[in-house]
Amino acid sequence: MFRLKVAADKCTGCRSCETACSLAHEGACLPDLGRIWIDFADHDTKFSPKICRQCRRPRCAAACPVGALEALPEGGARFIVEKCVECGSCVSACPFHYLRLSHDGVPLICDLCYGRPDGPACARICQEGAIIAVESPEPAEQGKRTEAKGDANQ
Amino acid sequence: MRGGYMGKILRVNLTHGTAHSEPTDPEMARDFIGGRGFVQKILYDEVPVGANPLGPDNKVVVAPGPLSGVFMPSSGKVQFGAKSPATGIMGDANMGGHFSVEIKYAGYDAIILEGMGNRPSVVVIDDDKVEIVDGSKYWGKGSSVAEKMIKDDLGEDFQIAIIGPAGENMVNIACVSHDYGRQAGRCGIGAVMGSKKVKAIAVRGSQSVPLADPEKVLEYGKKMFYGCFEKPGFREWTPLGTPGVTPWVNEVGAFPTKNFSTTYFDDHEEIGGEALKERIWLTDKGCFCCPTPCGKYSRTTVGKKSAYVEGPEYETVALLGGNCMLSTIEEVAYANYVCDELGLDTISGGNVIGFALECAERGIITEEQIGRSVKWGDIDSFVYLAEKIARREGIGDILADGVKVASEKFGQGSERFAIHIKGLEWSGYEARWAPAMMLAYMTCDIGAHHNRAWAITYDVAKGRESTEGKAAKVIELQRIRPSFDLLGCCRLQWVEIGFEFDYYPVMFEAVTGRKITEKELYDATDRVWNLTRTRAFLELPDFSRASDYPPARFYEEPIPTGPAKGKLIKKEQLDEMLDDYYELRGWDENGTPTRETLEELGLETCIHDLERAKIL
Repeated sequence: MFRLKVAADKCTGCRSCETACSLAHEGACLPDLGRIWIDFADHDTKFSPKICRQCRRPRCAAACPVGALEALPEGGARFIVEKCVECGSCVSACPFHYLRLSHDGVPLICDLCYGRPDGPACARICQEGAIIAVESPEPAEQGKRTEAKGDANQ
Repeated sequence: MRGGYMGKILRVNLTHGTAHSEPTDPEMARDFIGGRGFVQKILYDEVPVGANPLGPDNKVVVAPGPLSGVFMPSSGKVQFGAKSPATGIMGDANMGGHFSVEIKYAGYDAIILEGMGNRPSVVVIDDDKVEIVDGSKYWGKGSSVAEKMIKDDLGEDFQIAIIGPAGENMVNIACVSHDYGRQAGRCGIGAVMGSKKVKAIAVRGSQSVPLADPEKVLEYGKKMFYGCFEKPGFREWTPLGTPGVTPWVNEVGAFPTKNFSTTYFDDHEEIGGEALKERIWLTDKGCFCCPTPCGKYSRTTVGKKSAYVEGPEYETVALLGGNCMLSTIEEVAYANYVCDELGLDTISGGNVIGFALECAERGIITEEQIGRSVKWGDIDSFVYLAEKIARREGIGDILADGVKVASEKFGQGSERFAIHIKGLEWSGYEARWAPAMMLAYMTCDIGAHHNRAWAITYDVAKGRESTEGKAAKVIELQRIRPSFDLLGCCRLQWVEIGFEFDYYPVMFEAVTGRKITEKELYDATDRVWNLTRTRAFLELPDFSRASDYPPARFYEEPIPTGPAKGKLIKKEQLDEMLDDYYELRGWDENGTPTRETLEELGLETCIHDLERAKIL
């Protein structure tokens, strides 16, 4: 089980992480579809990668009126696309202003690249050390995530 | 066209204030690949011979490549081209950052700016929605100041290509800037944008690059990144970036110093990569998907003045440092900041100001003409001259045309030390004791530029006295390096950390679905090379073998000081190399492409045009 950590001072703003993520999850080369994104709001040099904190009690899931986001025991949420009504409540609920929508209006939920042999794509591609995947100390219950991502991870 | 191409080219007419898109020509994609290939092909076909570079008939073509925006190392290069006001032949320049990829995401393989507006404007491209908006409030502002204003007005997610006051005033050495410190510097493309009254192009897109085989792209893209990480140079080269090479260039006696009068700068340790990293560096700044960020964002303080600036990269260190003798990294970075804000190419800017300082020292131009006393290594003199040039005031109005025109106007033997070829000022490698590098500058299709063939390492490795085999090596490099310009990605991983070229054709196939060999890629670069050469003969009645020679300083004055003291390549040696080069290129003794060569490359149009001009 991984956790992602960010060292914003090491980020160079190259967007490799965003592009790796969009390709891994959407089969698209378009940084806007990344589940990770870099905040360029301070213009020049302050690049700040935004990642999902995998909250223990995810507000995004609590805010979802139709149960399209399901809180996971190990933290974070699982997204069930069929149920989503594209209301954006989850985005407003995210206390870290991290969560964003795809162009189709569905939330871009980080699954920590569950099941990928080389771990989260964003962290593996960032050699600057701005995004680091660390092993989570406690054993996690991964049942639901496995079930949800069964096909994608073969 | 299965993948890699967006399938559309955007045409913006400034005269009529209209914009529409056209399908990308699949034959052009097949033969010219993209990027610089598209730029030069479109210019060749659409700009009439003899067009005034600063008139309505000239066009600015901006093109990413088929690999731009794809998940792989450094896939974010964009090419800018136009008929150059500095050289009178077709020019181009490239830059990194995020502009290239945003053009792709907006759905275009190229953007063509044509006609001429009569009011300052900004071309705003938001996917299919294209508007030419009033740019009056940004006009006159410095590049990064105006870039920030535009981002504040339109949104942070727009990527901006912008000109400074130098471009607005149609200074021949004006660049196009982006992302607060990336420049497409060469050939005065900024002046052409200025002539069209286009302050900036702002782009935002939301479309993915089509991929023939997305899974292969992911798998192979990762492989390419991991391949870079494993190179020893990855850790060694990246921390200092391009200025890290400064001590080596001095040791081998090739550092432009005091307007190229000598090749070793005593204070080089004060202006190189180490000094940058220790004294002014704040953070690395990477272009799109770059694993080896060469952008070194810095804060510099000189006296009471202080500035944030990206860079200086090696060329700036060489031309503003050595060539104008600014002897601390703080001063070089400050001068870099001044050029960036004014929108001056630091390579040509360092040449022109070095030339002016030498003219002043020799009494060719007087204190009265200049308006104050100026001296080598003085930051105030530098800033004064840069501002005069960018605003075309006083002596600056003459210097703004570049060293070629300025030396013709000043006369008095100043042509000897006006360091240019074909009207384009020399970049950061003094080549009096580097025959292959010299030949690379002589034969570069836009003028004295290093990026088509950085051959100096070959000279150092294989012997610097001999001209043997140098032409073949230069041509080899002129095929590999421009391949990156066609593909729309950066060459620095290949150049600096030894990343293998073999990866690129494989990635090209995964992205586009078209199998391509290295040979086919090199043929495409040859096609561009012969197209630009043909066009030069058509544009300039006196274009000939003589256009390929460096200024007299470079074959008549031995290097006076430093490790290369006494060294010189003689004119006969230059002739030998040119003879070899023309033969290997399939050109005649005057450097004109032969009928057979053009036929082989499928450039029938060029044959027809040369025949009509009675050159062939």
